[in-house]
Amino acid sequence: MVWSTPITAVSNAVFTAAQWNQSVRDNLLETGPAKATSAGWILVTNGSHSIEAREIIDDVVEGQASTTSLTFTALSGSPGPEVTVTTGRKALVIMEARSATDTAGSSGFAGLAISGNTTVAATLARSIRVESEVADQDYRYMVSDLYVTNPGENTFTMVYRTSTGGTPTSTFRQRRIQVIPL
Amino acid sequence: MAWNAPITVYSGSVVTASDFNMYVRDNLLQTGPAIATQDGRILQAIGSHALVEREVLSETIDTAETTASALYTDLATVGPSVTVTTGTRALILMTAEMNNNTAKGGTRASYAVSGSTVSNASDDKALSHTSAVANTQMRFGSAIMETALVAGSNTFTMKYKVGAAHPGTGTFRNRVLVVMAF
Repeated sequence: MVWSTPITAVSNAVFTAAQWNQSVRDNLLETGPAKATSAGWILVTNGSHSIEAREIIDDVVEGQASTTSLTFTALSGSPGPEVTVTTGRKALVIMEARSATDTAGSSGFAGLAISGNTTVAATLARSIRVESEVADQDYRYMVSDLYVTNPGENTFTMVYRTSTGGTPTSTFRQRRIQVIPL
Repeated sequence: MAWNAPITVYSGSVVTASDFNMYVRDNLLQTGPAIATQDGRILQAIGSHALVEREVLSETIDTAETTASALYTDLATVGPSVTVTTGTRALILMTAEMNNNTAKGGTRASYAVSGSTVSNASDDKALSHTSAVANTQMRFGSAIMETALVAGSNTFTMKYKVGAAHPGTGTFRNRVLVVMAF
């Protein structure tokens, strides 16, 4: 069922069951209380005269893991963090990570890959970047972006790499991802 | 029209066309689905018994551009910039990759507001990066909740400068501005 503009009642006119069902029952079933299913979700618009409840979701991986990869990859033994959530055509993503690289002048990158109904590869341009001025210099940073998604179930996964030049090892810990689907 | 607390009907009472129009039709026209016009917006309370849909918008500029200004200024490509209708609040999420070509040189990225609200970029709402080693690159962001906006159409524009103590030339790239209107 969909929303329809409720009728304007007229004095002495017969109010039919069909009118009640369309203008009252069906419209009430499109409102917030009808859509709400779980605490903490938000109500977003899903098009003209349509709303949906969306789950705000996050995942955290505290553990420390390293990589020498020059392409984005999961950390061995400590993948993620990762969330799977139903989105509309946009999702606000906030990532945080602590990073240190064992070679002065080299960088660690924490990026985002999207899979499921949407495919987006991690890129340097959208990643957290921590360049070590001295070996093992350690920072914890956040980045955010509004991603275009295909509606439906999408998985957001943090992935990691180090920078070119020498053989640096980048270490990551206290990694968090938060997704607000719209 | 506005929301009215729905009447309580008693056995034997007559519900008039006027009652239907005020307590059913007009109230339904204040609900989420009646207000929703496009997908990807958030439903928010705008006051007692009143809802509005608010946008979440972003702009990205990846091009590396420079400034040697110790006062907040535009780069060759102005922005990123987002214009959105807000109430008195908005969540501002900035991300940028920054470096300075001078040892101990600082780089700062903030935002100015124009339109219904006028406020300048300032250090208390800025990304800030100062490195002991020249050209150390970091990409990171911040989240700031503006709570004293003038309701209406507001434009948020990122601005940039270098630190005054060791100015040098700052380079800014991969810049993202996300605004969630409230």
